[in-house]
Parts: sequence; C-alpha cells; structure tokens
Amino acid sequence: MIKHYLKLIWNRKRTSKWIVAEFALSFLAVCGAMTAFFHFYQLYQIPLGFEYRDKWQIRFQMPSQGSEAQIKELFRIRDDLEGFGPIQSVSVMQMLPFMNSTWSSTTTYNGKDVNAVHNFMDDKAQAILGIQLLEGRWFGPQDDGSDEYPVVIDSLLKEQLFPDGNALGQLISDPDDSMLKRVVGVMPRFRQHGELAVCRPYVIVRADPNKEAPLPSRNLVLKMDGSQTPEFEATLAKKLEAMAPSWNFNISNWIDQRENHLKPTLIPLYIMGIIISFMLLMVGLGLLGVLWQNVLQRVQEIGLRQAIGASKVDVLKQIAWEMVIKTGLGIAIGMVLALQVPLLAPLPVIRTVWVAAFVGSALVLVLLTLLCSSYPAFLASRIEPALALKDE
Amino acid sequence: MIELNDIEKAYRTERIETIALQSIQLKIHKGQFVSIMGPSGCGKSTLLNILGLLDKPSKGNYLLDGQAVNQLPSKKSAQTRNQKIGFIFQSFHLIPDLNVMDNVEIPLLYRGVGRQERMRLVAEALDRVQLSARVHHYPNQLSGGQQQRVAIARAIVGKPELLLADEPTGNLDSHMGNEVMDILKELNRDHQTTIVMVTHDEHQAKKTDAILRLFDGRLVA
Repeated sequence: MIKHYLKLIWNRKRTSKWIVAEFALSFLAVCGAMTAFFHFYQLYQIPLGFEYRDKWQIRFQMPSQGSEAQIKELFRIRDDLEGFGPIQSVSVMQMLPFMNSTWSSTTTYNGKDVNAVHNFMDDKAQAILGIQLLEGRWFGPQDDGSDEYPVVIDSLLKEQLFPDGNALGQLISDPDDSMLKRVVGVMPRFRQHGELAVCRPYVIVRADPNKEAPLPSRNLVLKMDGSQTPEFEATLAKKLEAMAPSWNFNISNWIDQRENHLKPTLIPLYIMGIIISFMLLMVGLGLLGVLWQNVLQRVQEIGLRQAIGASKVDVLKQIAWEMVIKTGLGIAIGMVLALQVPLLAPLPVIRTVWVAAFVGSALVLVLLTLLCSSYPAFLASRIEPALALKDE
Repeated sequence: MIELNDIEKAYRTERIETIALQSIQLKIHKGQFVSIMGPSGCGKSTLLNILGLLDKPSKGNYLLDGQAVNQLPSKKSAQTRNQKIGFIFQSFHLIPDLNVMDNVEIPLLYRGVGRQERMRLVAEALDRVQLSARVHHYPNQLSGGQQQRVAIARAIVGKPELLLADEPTGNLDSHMGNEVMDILKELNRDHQTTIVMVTHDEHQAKKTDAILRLFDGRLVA
C-alpha cells in the first residue's frame, strides 16, 4: 500500500513538491533552533566548577597598575576585610567569573601546545569558591619561595596535555619558556564565563604577593555568610574608601553578574524560540489548509476508494500516510542540506547534539503533520461514497 | 442472489421528507443480467446504491447471498463491497494520476493480495477487456470507451459475484456503448456474473434478461 501512496505522490509531484520544499525549509529552521537549544542545554548541564551564591566582588582601579606595593596593599585589604560584617573570607583573583575578560595563553608540555585560559588566585580561593580537586592539592605556604609558579589545571587541559600520564608534578610552560609552571593539582572544568560558554582548558596560577605576575591581580572575591543586605554595600564602600583612598572600586554580587552575563545568550535564544514557534504554527495552519483543500479536491477519488473496498480507517490512514511520506521526503532533503554544516564548517557542537537536533526536528515535524492531517483525514473518512460518486 | 423485502428510502430534513424508494420487493437470481429503467429522479441510482451497500435503506430487508446486509457495520460493509461487488460508473471514476494497471489493482490492494497474484489478476482482467497493450497508459491518454473498459477491468479484477453498472454507456457513443455491452454480456454468459445495470437506453436494456421499471420510487414492472 505504501508503494501505491508513493506512486500517487510521485505522479502528483507538481503539487507535492511545494509541500516537500516547505518541510525541507522548516526542517532546516527547526534543526538550527534545536541545535542551538541542545548545544546550550548540554553546556548548561556541565557543572560550573565553583559556587557563585553569596559571593560579592570588588574590582579595583589603581593609579599605577601592578606595582609591587599595590599588590601587597591588595593582600592587606583582603586580610582586613575578613570578618567585617557578613564577610566570612576574602580571596584575591585576577580574572573574575561572569565577565567578558579572558587571559588565554599557549601552554606547552613535551612539545605539545594547548591554548588555555589562565587566571591567578590566592591560597584561599579554593575554599571560598568551593573548588573540588580531583587530584593533588591547592596552593599553600609550601609553595613559598618556589622557582616555578604552582598551578592547578582543569581536567580538560589534563586530557589534552597528559592523555596517558600523570599530570601532578609535571612542568608546563609558555612557548618561550618565560613562565615555568608546576602542576600541583587537577580540578574539574572551571567555567569562568558561565554555564552557556564552551568549556576551554583552564590553568589557575598561584597569586603570590612576593612573586612577579604577568598580569597583576586587582580584584577581591568576598564570601558572605548569607546575612548580607543591599545596605551593607554602602558600609563596605565607606570602609574601602578609608582603606584605599586613592583607589577607585566597584562592588557587585555574582548572582547579578551571572544573570547579566547570561542575558546576551539567552535573549536571542528566546527570540529564536518564539520565531520558530510562530513559523511552526504558520506551517501547521498552512498544512491544514492545503490538506483540507486536497480532501475537497479528492472527494470523488475518496468516494470511489470507499466504493471498491476502502474502510473509513483505510481513508484516514491514506491521508495521514501521504502526508507523513511527503514530510519524510522534506525531512530527508532538509537533513542532507543540514548535514553540510557540520561537514563543511566545524562548529563547537558535539555529535550527540547534532543527532539529538536532527531526530528532535524530524519528530516535531512528523507530529505536526499528524496533528494537522488528523482533521482533514477525519473529514475525508466521513465522505459518503453515494454522494461523492453522484454523476452530475 | 439478491432479495429486497419492502425496501424504503426516505431523506429527511427538519421540514421535509422525501421518499426516494418505497415498497420495493425484488429478487434477482445468480447469473441474471437485469436492467433498471425509469425517468430521472425516480430512484434508480438510490436503488443501485442500496444494492451496492453504498447507502442504507430506511426500512426493509436486503439479503445478499442469503445474508442480511442492510445494517452491516461500516467496516464489514466495505469488506463485502470489496469481495462481492464490482461497480461501473457512467463517468468511469478512474484516478487520473495512476496508470491503467495501478487503477485496476486498487480493489486488490484493499483485499491485501500479494504483488505477484495482483499482477496476474490485473493482467487477466485487462485481457478480458482487451486492453493488455495499454497497461502503462494514463486515463487522459485513452478514449472514453477505453476508459470505461478500464473501469470494467477494475470492477471485475476481484472476481465479484455481483456487478452494478450505473449508466455504463451513458457517456459513450453507440459504437463504444455496444462494445461495453458486449463485454458485460460476455461476463454474464461466461462467468455467470450477476449484473444489475441502470440505463436510459431502451436499446441496451433490451439486451438484458429482464427490465425493471421504476416510477416515483416504486417498481412498476
């Protein structure tokens, strides 16, 4: 029977081709949206690697950035702020999460180069950020006076630089050997740019007031005890003005930072979702109209089929099958076109996401077809053969 | 083969009741070739639709091969039409987007006949109407007479016991009409197929075993 429907569709290709084309284009649009959705959903599922709740940050702007005295002053402010009001503990950090700034540098080991995001954090950062270590340890006083920079790397960098071996104790460097770093610990992925950003290899270097750093740290992260109020910000600002009168600073909390950082990614996604929903609605309504028209044009054929043995269920099945076949053809064409994207232009999207988007888009369109063809098919099954075959 | 007892068909709306058939008593034996005549609107097609299970009588009993069929559920009714009854229409009702072979095989598709057997039966039916050379033609590539022969092939491909023809020569010139009648006569003679034919053509009706005349929904002869 399917072959019979295929013949009918092929022989009616002048009209069928437009529906097939509509589905091919719809598949491309839905597949694009689903790829984006599944891509970001998959990213969202990966843990951040740190705890952002009850964290405040202070960004300083110093008159002459990075002098040794200023770095020491920053560490002194850190120590003085601990225990002030709801502040539990304070840490020095060079690059703050949920901001667009990044410092990335090539990391070399045994002739292998991997581009990794770098950050500087002090000895207290692990406890403040809740970073869980997979291997080794965090920085501590045992690293004082070391010739190399102690670093904690993330599991992604470990997989790429040390696929088979042990990372702990290994020396990694820049291509020009200007900064020799010893791996003291391995942590899970650290997602500085938030849940919707692609994971990149990550290196945390120890921020040491007594050691020169390529980029000076100038930010503090405050772990609050949960009792903080918005008014405390003014109290804190007064204290900072007193502690470092010549420095400018900006205080904010990480919940707001995170929300603002996610917006530029989420808003286009919401807009795309709305557009695709409307597009599917239009396709569905169009399909309903086309099928309705199609049934009206085929009243005699349907009446004849009933006269020569088709039951009402056969008629329902025929209308639904014809539409599913046309949808399937459209999806197949759309799939061939959509496949060109991962084949010709590699995107940072994993294979599972492509497969899920392809399968999901196909399912959405088949369900839409079944939904939209159900009423016209029901109308077709109600055609009375005696009336349909009446010769005028 | 066919027994109608006190058949009545009425079309009712909220205000009006139209009686299309009343008090129809009829027996048609297996192998008979019967024609039904009467003026337009006298109920010929309604009677044929009831005989073909395309419509249900408002009253009365219809026995086909001794089995009461007037109140069969829709699915059973479709099965009976598929297996026991063949239809021929005045305007052929071929599906224009299917070729001759594909049009003829449709009843067998609904019967679930396998491909090889289907091809054999289609070839046999087309041979009987002398259209074996036109299997890949589409309806618009055939003359009216040829199209009606395709419709006859479709009606007989499943070897039905009863053939219902609604003015089968009505759209054909006399030569083609005679050709179609010859095929029907041959089917009736060689295969003992029971045929009921509605016609306006007295000349063609005289070729059948009996003529039933309808007037205002009643059988008058």
